[in-house]
Amino acid sequence: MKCETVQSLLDHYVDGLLIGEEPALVARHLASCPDCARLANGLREMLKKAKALPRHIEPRRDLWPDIRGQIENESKRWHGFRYARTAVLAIAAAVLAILAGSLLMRGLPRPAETPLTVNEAPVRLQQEVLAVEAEYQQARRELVATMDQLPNRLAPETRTVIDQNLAIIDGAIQEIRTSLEKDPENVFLFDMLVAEQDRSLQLLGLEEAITSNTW
Amino acid sequence: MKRKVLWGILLLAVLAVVPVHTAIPAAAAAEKSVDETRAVKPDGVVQISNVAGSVRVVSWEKPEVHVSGELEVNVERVDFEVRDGRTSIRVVVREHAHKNTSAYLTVSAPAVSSLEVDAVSASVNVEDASPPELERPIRQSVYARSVSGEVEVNTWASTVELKSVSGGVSFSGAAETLDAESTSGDIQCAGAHSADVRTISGDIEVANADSVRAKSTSGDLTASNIGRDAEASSISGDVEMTLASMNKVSARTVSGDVTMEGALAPAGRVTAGTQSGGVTVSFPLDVSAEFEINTISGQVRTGFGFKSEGINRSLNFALGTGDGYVRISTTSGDVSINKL
Amino acid sequence: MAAIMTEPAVDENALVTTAQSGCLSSFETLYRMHSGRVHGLCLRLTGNAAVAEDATQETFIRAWQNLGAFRRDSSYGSWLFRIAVNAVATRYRTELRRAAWEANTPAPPVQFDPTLRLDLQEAISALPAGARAVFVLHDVEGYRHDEIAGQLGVAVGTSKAQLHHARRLLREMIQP
Repeated sequence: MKCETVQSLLDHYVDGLLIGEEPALVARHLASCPDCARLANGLREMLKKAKALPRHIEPRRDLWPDIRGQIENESKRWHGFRYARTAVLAIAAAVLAILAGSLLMRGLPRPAETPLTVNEAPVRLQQEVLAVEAEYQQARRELVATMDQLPNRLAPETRTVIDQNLAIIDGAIQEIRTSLEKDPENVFLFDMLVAEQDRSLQLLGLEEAITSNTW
Repeated sequence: MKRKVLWGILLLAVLAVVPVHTAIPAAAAAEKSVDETRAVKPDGVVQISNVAGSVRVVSWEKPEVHVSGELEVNVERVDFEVRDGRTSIRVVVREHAHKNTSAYLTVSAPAVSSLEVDAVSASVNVEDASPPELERPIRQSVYARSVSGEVEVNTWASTVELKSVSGGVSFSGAAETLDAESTSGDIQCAGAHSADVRTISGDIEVANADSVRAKSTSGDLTASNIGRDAEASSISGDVEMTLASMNKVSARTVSGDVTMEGALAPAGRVTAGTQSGGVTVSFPLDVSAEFEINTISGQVRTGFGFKSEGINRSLNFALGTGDGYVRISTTSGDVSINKL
Repeated sequence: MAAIMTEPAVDENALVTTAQSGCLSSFETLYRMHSGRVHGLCLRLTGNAAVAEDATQETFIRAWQNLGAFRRDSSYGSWLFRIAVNAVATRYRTELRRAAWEANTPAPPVQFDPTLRLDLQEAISALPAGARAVFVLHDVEGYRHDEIAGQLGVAVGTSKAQLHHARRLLREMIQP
């Protein structure tokens, strides 16, 4: 075996993933090639160090107060809510809102952020769109490849629904792309594009998610 | 003698070909049923999982869980176990069976138990029919999902989470937070304080919420009687919202139409954006806000006496003391601002 | 699952059960038992202390919110790990997409000074996000490629390729 070949197989060799004659061929080469042997040992050393890295690392500060704070914020609403005055409260809130709305409060500060008009985004957006599209296509290809390897576990009708909806999202992405061509600096369209791409990837992974109970 | 033998052989030949059960009267398919009760802590969790058929949950005041129902032949058994405050009801079907695996269950659970219902094609119905008396505790959480069955929940709970892939989802009663998702089914919900609802192609209808976030790819979104905040986005579906008081409101589509109406809250912010869809916003006469309207080729009409002309129509004006902020952008869609 | 988490003590199950019924102090005990490992994982996956702390908080908050959905078909620690990896992966997917054009968010560092010899921990932090995630999950935490692929939402081949890439980069950084 040539050094080049052995070096490209080293990872799998060290992980025990080679099969058939390959492990013996690589071992034989390593026994007689000091350069490759050094690489292999270096790799093994590094992996040993990696496995020995401390995995228990406390955060710099105690995060519990913040975590509890966020949990209790929701809880506070829960406790106020746990007793079924909800329907009454909702209607009351709506009525109050109408009353408050009609009492003009003067002198309130204007909204803090400067609104971004549709055409103000930097030219770089076009490049971002391309980058994001490329990454999406790649992720989608990979997911499809993974899904193809899995046994078919969903009922055919459900599979059909998923395929139909994937096509709907594809149509929507196409619609957004067409709009972006006409309006390339449109930040909102970019946002929507990324969002739909994400939904498409989620839908592709839905079968796996359903069968592993994480959907 | 020979003839009898011949007939005998013929008869045997015929019987060999004819399927046995036409010769024997068919036995009734052996259907089973379940009817069991267990004592439980009232504020624990009741978890139900079923493959096909239906799950119906009703509430009662007893510290007990009762399961009853009919099971088709290929349902092997229903495991019913209580451990550490968690009641688990699990339908087990015969391995490799694809037909006659339905279980039609009715589960009575304490009114304050949390619920978790998991189904594949079974429909899920939670029917807490009457609201609990004021000042009494309610369920902490209700979680229900079915891959292809309908999910219909009427309950009073703090957190509700409902999911389906192809079935419809509906919620009524009251909840602090509602999270509902269906890929192709429609979603209806009324009575959540804050709702987060998503579909790909299903339509969404949310009513009587304080705040709502709704997202669809091609479905239509309708939000009515919303208290303060709303965020809606659909690529090709229409968005229609009515709010008591617009505090933080945003609607976005590519080709769908956007229709909004309501009073503007003090310092309220409203944004609406489409490409080719039309935008119609209606405010009461005393609305106070800065308006910024942009469109490339759409028409702009306002009921407040402003007009814009020319290409790249951009219109900026203020009404009242300009407290709130309204921004509308389209590419080719028309914009109308009306008086309520 | 990677056999790193020790068998949960008998009282952990009881803690999870009471936490599921809403007991915050049980959840706090569970937090104390697992915060080191969860934070350790987030820190190695992100290479950034501030982001790791955010991700750790998010993991425990999500764990609290989804306790009802914890099916006990894995250990509580493994379940927390899934949530943590998910939290980091989602964050990076979105951030990597927007980092370049949102001026106030720096893109993750990829360049390193080739004359500097980094120790292993520094080198891991300097890896690109995807390679780092796979390296940490495979070579530090001991997950298999199919488990990593499922968690990160990529194909098994991608996981193997990223590992190869990570190890090569690391070797260059540690011993140029």
